Amino acid sequence: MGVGFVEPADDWARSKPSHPELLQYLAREFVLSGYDLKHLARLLFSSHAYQRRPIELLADTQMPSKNRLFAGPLRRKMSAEQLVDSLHRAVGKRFECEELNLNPAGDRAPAQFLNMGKPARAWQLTALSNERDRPALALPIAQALVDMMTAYGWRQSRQSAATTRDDASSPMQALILANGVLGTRIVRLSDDGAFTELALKDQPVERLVNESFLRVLSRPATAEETRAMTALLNPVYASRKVAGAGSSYAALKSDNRVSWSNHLSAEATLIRMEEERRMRMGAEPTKRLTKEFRERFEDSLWAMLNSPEFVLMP
Amino acid sequence: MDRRAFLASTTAVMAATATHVPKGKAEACIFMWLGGGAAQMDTFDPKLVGDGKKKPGSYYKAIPTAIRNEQVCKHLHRSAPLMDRAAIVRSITHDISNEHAAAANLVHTGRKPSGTILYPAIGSIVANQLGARTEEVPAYVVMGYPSIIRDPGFLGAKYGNVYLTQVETGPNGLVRPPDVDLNREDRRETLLGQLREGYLKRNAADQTVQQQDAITRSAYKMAGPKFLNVFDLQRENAALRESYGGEFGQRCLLARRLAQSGVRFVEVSHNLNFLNGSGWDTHNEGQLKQHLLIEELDKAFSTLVTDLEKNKMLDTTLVVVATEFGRPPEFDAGGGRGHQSDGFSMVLAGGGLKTGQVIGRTDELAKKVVERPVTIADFHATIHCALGIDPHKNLYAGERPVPITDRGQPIAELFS
Repeated sequence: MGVGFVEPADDWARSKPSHPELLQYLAREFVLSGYDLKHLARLLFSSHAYQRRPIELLADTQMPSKNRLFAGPLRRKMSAEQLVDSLHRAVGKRFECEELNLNPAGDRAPAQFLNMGKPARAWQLTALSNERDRPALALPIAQALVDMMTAYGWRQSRQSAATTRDDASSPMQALILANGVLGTRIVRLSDDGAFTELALKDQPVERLVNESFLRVLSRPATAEETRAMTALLNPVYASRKVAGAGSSYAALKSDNRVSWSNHLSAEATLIRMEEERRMRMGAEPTKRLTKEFRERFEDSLWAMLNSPEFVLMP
Repeated sequence: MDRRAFLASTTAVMAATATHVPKGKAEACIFMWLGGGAAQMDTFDPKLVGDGKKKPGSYYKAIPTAIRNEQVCKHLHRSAPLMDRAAIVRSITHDISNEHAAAANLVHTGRKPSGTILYPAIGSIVANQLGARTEEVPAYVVMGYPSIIRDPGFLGAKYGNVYLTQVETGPNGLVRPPDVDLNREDRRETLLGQLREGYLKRNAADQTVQQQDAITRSAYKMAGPKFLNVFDLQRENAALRESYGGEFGQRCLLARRLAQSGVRFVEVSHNLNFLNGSGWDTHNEGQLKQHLLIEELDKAFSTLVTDLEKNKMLDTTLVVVATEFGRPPEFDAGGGRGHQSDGFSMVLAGGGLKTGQVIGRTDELAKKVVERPVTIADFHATIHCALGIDPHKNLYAGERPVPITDRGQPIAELFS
C-alpha cells in the first residue's frame, strides 16, 4: 500500500518481506482461490488496512523492511498507465488510438513493418518510431497519449525492467495534463462523454456538482466546493439545453491513404498535419449544450482533474 | 578482490592516465539536425564534380570559404564567408550505414543500444549536468518529433524534452489549448485554486500532498509569459525573420531566442522532406532538388551565426550541424546517392572553440577517412567539453556507473 512487501518489488533476494505473516496469508488465499487475482484484489481492497486513512509521510522504499511497520497506506502518484486510463474512465470516454502501424497499405514485408495493433488500454502502447522526423509518419492520436505517458515516466523502449521506472515528479507532468492535447480532449464536453449526459439530466445544479466530484475524485463535494461551482454554473444552468440539437460523435480516425510507400509526398504530409491540427483542437463539442454553460462546466472539470488530489491515491 | 572492487580500481587507474580534459565556456548548444543523412561532398566536403550518373563526385561546384584553401559547395555561399567562425569536421566515422533510426540513435546518444540499459540523448545529458541557465524555462527543447533518440533514457522523465513540431503551434503542454482564452484561463485558475486550497488544508501535514502541490506550482510558472513570449517571433525585426528563411530558419531564430532565455540545449530538426521528396535522404530523384535543402540550411546557418554574433552570444553558444551519416560519391541508378557512415562531415560553430579550421580529411572522393578519424564518442566529448562538462564523468543508471561518453576524446585542436 505504497510500498511493497519487498523493495524493490522485483528483487526478492536482496531483502526480506516486511510483513511475512500477511504475505503468507495472501499467498495461501491466492492458491486456495485457484490463482484468482481478482479474489486477491477483492481481499485487499475490502480490508480494513487498505481503507485506513493514509499516513502523512513520503514513501521511503530504502527503509529496511524490518523497520517498516504498518499504520496505514501511503499516498502515491498514479503511474503513467493508470493516469491515462483513469482520465478516460473519469469522463466516460472511449480510449481511442490509431493502429500502431506505419504501413497500413500492407505493401511491405511484415518483418520490416510490425503492426503493433490498436491499443485499447494505455499499457498496450509502443514506441511510435518516428526517428526520421517525418510529419507524414506521425500518429497524432497516439502521440497525445504517449506525450502524457512519457512525462509520467513511461518509456518507449524497455531495455530495463518496468519496475526500475523513474517515478519522480516533474513540472512537465502538471503541464501536459493542464494544456496537452489529451487533456483538452478529455475535458471537452463532446457527445461521447459521460459528463455531457450528466449535464443534460434534469437535476438541481448542486446534484450535478456532487455527481461530478464522485466521478472524478471519488468523494462528495465539500460545502465550499459546492458553493463555488454552483455560483459559477447557476447563472447559465437553467438555459443550458439547446432545443432540437442532436447527438453526433464521429470517432477519431486516421487517414489510411498515408502509408510508408507514399509518406514522402507533399499530400501525405498535408493530410497528417491536418490530423495533427484537428487533434490539437480537441473533440467536437456537443451541440446539445450552450457554449456558455459548456465552457463553464469544462473549466470546472479541468480544475478537478488538475488538482493534485486527482493524481494522488488514495 | 571482487568484481566491483576490481572495476572500481581499474577505472581509477584509467582516469588517472586519461589526458587532460579541456573545459570550454559555452553556455548553450543549438543542435541542427539534418535528418536523412546529408551528403558531405555536396555540402561541407566538396570534391571534383561528377556527372550525376557514372562518374562519381560532387553534384555541385565548390567555392572558397573564409578558411584558407578550404571550400564548400556553391549553394552554401552565404555561410562560406563565415566559416572562420566554424570548424568543419570532415572525418566523422561510425559503422551503421544501413539503418537511419539506428544511426540517428547513435549520433544522439553517442552509443549503440544495449540490451539492459536505455542511454540518454545528448540533450538530456546536458539538461542533467547543467540544468536550465535561468529559472522558469526548461533545459532541453526539441523542434521536431519526440522519438526514442531524443529521450532521457535512464536519466528519467525529469530530463526529457519540451517539444514542438511547428513553430506556430508553440511548445506542447505549455501553451493554452486553442479554445481557452484569458477569461477561461482565469476562471480555471480560480477554481483550481479553491480546490487546491481545500485539499491542502485537509492534508496540511501530508508530505506527499505538499510535495505534489509544490511541483505543480513551479510547473505553472514555466507556462507563464516569461517563457511563452520567447515563442513570439513577431517580436523580432521583420528583415531578420526574412533572412532566416522558411520553417527551418524560423526554428533557428526561435532556437536563438530559447538559448537567450536560458535553455541549455535546443535541437532543431530539418525535416521538410517534401521540399525535394526525400529530405536529406537523397536516394534517386531526391538528388535533383537537394540544392533547395542546402540553400535552406545555408540561409538558416549563416543568419544564425551572424545573429548570435550580433547578440554577443556566439562565443557562449555552440552551434552544431549534425546528421546520422553521409553519402557515397557514386550515384545510384536514379541519380541519387546511397548511405556512407565511414567518413562524413559535421560542423561546429561558435561556442568559444578555436574555429576557422578543418578537422580531418577524406580521400579524393570523400569515400574514406584518410586523416584524423573522429568517432561519435569523440564528437560528443567535444560538445560536452565545449559546454564545460567532463565527458568521462559517470552518470548512474540505478547503481551502475555509465560514463557520459563511451571513452570519447574531445578534439583537442578546437580548444586553446
